[in-house]
Amino acid sequence: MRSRRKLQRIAIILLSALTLVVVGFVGAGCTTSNDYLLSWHLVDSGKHCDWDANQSKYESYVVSGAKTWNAYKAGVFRPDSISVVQDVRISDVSELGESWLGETSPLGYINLNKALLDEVSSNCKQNTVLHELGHALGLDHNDNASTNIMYSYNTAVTALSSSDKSSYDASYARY
Amino acid sequence: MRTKKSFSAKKKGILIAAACVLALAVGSGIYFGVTKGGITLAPAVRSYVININNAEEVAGFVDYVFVGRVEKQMDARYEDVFERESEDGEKTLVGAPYTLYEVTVLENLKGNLKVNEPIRIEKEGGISMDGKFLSVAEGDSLPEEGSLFVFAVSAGADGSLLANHNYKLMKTKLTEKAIGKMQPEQLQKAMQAELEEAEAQADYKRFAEACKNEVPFARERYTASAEWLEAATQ
Repeated sequence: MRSRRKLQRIAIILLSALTLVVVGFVGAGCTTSNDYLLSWHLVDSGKHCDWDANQSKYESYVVSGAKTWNAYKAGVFRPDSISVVQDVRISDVSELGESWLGETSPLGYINLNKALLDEVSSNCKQNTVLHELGHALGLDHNDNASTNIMYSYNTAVTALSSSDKSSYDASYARY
Repeated sequence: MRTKKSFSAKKKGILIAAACVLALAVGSGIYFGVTKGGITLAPAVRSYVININNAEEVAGFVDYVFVGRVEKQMDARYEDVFERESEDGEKTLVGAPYTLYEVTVLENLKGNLKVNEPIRIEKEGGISMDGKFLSVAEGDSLPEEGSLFVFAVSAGADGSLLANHNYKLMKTKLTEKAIGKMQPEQLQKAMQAELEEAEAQADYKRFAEACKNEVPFARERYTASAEWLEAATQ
């Protein structure tokens, strides 16, 4: 009888501990009230996100976008080279029938949709590229304000908001 | 001898254990990295020009909205293939997957695609080149064989159809086996009954209404080669 009760207690403690681990694990990828994070990112273990945009007509926007994010946390974005292997490949697609301007995949690529991007202003193009680079850093959409780069929909905003920076702080902590 | 106190402690223990198991089950299902049948979900995130949660905006963006039954999932193709090297030096081929489907159009809500004949539509998403990941836009899903969907699709310059969004209505009862046992008149009635059941679903009603009040989106548009030519010339 005693040993049965003891076993029950041990089982409850083990299960509780396991639950805490799972909740903590999930919580690491979940958002707090200020941080909007994806459960993945494309930053390597050296805290770099090395990009290749040689094939993209928007490469100048990528350079500028990387500079904007790096102004907040230096050196994370780097162009790839012979010695620096890419973490994210940025290329253009032409999908007239799709309603997205850009997409970022955890498989290691960003696609920019020329069919729509060519029709928007320079600032809107920059906003799209900044936004997709934000996803590569592990930031999720943040629809609390349209002044966020990580707002779900395209705008002409080209500067990081305090919410963007807060989310970036949280994402950076997990690289 | 069991006391009242020991009995309620036992109940508490069982409840806590059940809650832990439930939390574990829920926790393991909501994370990128969820693996089912050896394939891990890899959700892509997108930046849209429309509000994809607004049916009127979706209806205004696409060229066709229809109720369709997915007959067959066919091959996937891959765009912009490149070789990716992981930190431990492992090299893999990566490309954006597009999966082809054979779909029977049952009812048009916008546009005039051929009805009751199979057409082909493509959807971005599918199994990765190495077979390890299921790539699909976050919050989206891929069409399933044997189910009815509302499809919102656009035509390409070559007349092909690309599915922007699909909303599951129900599983079909008209499987090949079931159809094989029916007389033509029975089959007609069964098809009509199935369509009526589809029309009772919330997403059908939402899009039927949305197509009447679509928010127009100005862009270059093309005609699908699967369009019903007679109706298109009326």
